[in-house]
Amino acid sequence: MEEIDAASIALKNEIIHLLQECQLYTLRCLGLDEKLVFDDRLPFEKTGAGNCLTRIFSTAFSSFIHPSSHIIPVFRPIIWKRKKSGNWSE
Amino acid sequence: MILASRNIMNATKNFESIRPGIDDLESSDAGFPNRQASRFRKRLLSLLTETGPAFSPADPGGLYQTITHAFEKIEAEDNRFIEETVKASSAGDIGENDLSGLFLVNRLFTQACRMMVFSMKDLLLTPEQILSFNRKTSS
Repeated sequence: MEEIDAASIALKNEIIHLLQECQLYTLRCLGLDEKLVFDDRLPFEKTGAGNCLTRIFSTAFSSFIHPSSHIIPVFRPIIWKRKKSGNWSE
Repeated sequence: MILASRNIMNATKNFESIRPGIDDLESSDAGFPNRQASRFRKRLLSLLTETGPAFSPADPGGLYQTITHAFEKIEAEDNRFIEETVKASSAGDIGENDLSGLFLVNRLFTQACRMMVFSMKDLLLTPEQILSFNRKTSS
């Protein structure tokens, strides 16, 4: 029963989202400024963070980090130092 | 919910189909159709700005009033449009082509606005409020 209720609420939210998207489309269709109605965030942006750099990087990293790993790779610059002996070391 | 989504899609289809009609009214030589074209845009803007807070209501009790008032306003604007157009027509301010275009656009526009409000009613109001709304609007 709870699953049905949850599905029903999710479907309702999706249709509300559809209504807002259709309103936005109508505004654009009639050449009206959408900012007059949707002054903060556009309806289709509500679901995600968008293609910001943070998201792109996190997606790129998650593609080669093993899912079971919780270690975040840190890329530190390699600085070569010259020892007294004359050899180079990291 | 199925009815609401059907109403949303039909309303959007109507709005899309009246766009060339509104453009024709805008490019008409007569002043009355030009003014009505911008009035259609204002009417839509007014509907969406008034019903916008319904999606994230600060006062859920006011939701019913917002949706009912939006519907009443659509009807009032429709009546006002018909009245003004008939007056302008009898005064000879509108050509025959513009007159049929005006009525056609207004009919589709009003229907689309109604469908948008009906979909909001079905999605956002409680079953008791929906019954009350239906009684009020059908009388």
